[in-house]
Amino acid sequence: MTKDWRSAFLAQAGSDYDVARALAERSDIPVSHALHYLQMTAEKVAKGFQTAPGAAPIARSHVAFVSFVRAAGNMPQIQHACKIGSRRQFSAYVQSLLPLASVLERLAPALAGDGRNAEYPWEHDGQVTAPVEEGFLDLNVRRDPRAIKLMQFISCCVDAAREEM
Amino acid sequence: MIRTTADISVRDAAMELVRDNVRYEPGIVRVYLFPASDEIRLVEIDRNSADAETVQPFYFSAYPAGGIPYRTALALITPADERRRPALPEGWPDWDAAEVIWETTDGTHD
Repeated sequence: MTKDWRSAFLAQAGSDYDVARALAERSDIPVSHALHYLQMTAEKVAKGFQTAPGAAPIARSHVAFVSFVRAAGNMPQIQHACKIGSRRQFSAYVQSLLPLASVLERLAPALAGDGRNAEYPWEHDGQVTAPVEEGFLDLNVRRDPRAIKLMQFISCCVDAAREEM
Repeated sequence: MIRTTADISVRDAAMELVRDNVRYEPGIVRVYLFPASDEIRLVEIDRNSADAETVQPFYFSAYPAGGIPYRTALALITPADERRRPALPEGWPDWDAAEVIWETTDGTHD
């Protein structure tokens, strides 16, 4: 049993991440499913850390993840969870994640508008595409080094969250 | 370096944290510390952060092994948002109670 909204969000984020990782390891399953869970992990990690222990949850929003990454880049416990010894290296590492973190954040259907997302079909130039048909080359957590790095960072944040639970 | 709250004050722990942050985050132009006895409450004014209607900090647990024995609430807002003094989290004192604990002298980080 979780204690409050913060731990509930962080517990759910941890479970979402475990599913994202399991899906990422299954090359017979379209990568969109792993990204769907990774986007939900990112959203809940941000909401969890944005909720003070014992407090009510903040207003629902899909746009907290990039801000969270920036803030986490200032915190030594996240640096420790990422196993990066030098603060300079950690800052550079976090800075390098921001562009793709924004792309991942905008995969939420509510932010994608009528465009590419990991959950619902969309139409572009008269062509309807299902997420399972999209390669997500920039976010391919099986192949793209930047996407793999972003997924590792999210894993570190999940680990930091589990430390406090 | 394991520390307890008996080893360091909230303000001194905040100063240490901010010293590292501003060294590696060139977008930070000013940092406010809001008074609290058991929590580091920081608002960093960062040219690279996103617009926000309210100050919504992220809360990080105390990290005694890293020298920070207090929970940290950290928010990043833009200079434009700083000028309009957005609403603060419930329970925080108002902007007038905050102390500027760091700021650039000429708009740059040398």
